[in-house]
Amino acid sequence: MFTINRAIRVPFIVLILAFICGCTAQVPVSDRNGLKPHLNVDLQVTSATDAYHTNKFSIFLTQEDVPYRDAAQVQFEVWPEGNKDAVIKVDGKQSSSGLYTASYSFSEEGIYIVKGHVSTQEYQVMPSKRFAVGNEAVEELIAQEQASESEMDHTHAEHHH
Amino acid sequence: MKAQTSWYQAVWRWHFYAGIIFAPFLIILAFSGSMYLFKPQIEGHLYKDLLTVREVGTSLVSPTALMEKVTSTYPELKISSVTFPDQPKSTVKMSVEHEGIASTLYADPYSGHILGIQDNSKTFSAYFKKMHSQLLMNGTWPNRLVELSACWAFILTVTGLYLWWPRKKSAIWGTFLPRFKNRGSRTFWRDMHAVPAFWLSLFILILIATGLPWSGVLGPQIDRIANATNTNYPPYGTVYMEKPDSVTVAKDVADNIPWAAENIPVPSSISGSYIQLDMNEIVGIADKQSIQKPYTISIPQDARGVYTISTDHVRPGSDATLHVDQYSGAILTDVRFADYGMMAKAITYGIALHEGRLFGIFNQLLGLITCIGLILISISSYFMWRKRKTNGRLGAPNKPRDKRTTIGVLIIMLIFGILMPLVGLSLIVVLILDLLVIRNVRPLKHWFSA
Repeated sequence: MFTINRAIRVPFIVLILAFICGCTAQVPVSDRNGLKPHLNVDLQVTSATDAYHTNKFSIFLTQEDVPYRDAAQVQFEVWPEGNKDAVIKVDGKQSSSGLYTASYSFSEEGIYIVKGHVSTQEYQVMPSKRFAVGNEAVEELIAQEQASESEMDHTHAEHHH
Repeated sequence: MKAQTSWYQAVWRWHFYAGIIFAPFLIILAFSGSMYLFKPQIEGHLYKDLLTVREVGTSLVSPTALMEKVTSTYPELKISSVTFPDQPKSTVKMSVEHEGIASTLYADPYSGHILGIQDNSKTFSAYFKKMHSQLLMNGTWPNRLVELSACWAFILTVTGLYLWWPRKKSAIWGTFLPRFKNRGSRTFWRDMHAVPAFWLSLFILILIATGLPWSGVLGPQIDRIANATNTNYPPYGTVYMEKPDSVTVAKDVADNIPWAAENIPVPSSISGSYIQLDMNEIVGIADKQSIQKPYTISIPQDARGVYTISTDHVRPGSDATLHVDQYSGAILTDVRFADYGMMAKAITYGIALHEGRLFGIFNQLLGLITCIGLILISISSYFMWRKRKTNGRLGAPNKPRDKRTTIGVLIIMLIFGILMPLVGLSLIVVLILDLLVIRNVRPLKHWFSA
């Protein structure tokens, strides 16, 4: 009788311990900043040097500073600001590790919006930026950005009162 | 046998003094609590025109369009969050700052009409919540007084059970059932006090225990225990906890224009900073992550903030809190009910039980019966006291002759005082008053039977 008791005691204790451990907070898998694994994006619009009004769009994907190379699809949507109906879509291709690029030539100057749609097996991100094509538009965009920035600073200051 | 009477006497003395001081507060807490319990039904009736749409339409106005409608109607108004309902008849709620006042705006998602704006501090539930948590007064100390009353209610229940404990065998009457024979006698009022108090004692203890995680002094202690045992909410687990920052770096475009200072020609193209995602996109993310409505989406407070998606469920179990990068839509944290530690789960269920949300109308009725019982117990104790009160005295039970018992009970009280810091503080005040004033002033000593 005694020996049987002994035989079941160890598994019993293990079971109890397992139960207690099962009850504690299951801290979800997190990266070194305590966040859930996620993609970091760096969306850039640059003017290509070879042709006027040709812009290069790029998204650099990283995960904890390591280039992320497994994006199933990267697509750039571009439209003139205020006219979403005139959207054009360009597929991005991985030109170097984690860097997805595409380019497009604009026939009209003005302020545009580019939105990069990234989908992978686990993640989806969709950052967007405004950009200007042509000198006049560039000046206008800078003026607008400066205005919204000072507004941002203003509301930010209000929060700290 | 003699020791037992002595203990009875000493415990009774504590029960008497604590009861006389805290009964009025317990009546206020029970009354306000019973009102707040029925918030869904009462507010559903009072604010019907704000909470429900006139007609359920076939198509919904998009969340972004609904917000634009609001900001174009009230340009000065600031929206901080939007709550999407699960019922087709319910309106969309927006937390707003309107003319400097924290308010709630109600919008019809079918017609896009704004149905009204309500000052958050002037609702039915806000009134009774303020009564329940700070006795309708402002500042910290009314809230501490409420906590102190709740803690003493715990001691009253425990000491009361000790006093109720049947000392004679087979005494059903006066233990489980009240004796009605001499209506108005002390025995009658004693039974009207002790018998319902016994039946409700478990529920009273549960109500106190589930209310304490909110409290100002004991609440943080409970939180500390949960952290130490690793059974609390995980980081970023609720909307009340710290939020992360968005990880997408918003570079300052204006700080980086070399051609402004130097004589470099303006480039033919430039990009601005990241654009914040709109509400439609965040709702899309919430739906994609299968977050069940009703949920609230909080808007980033500044350029570094995040969108926060949090559920608003009546019953706990499918709770979720997600923080989303405001520029890229990356999900930075996602904590579900299953991720909570054991104590966090218990506290979440406890709060729902306390507020009568856990099992529908029966939960509400159970709360109501306990509240009515508490009021009855407090009132009957007043009559018991009046029956005892003799001329020139408060009517407190006499001190037991045996000094050791007095000290023994005091030690038990001090243990309560260590477990509940506010009780400890009140004990110190009482002991100082007793030693310095009451014992040295003869009429007071006589009045208090000290």
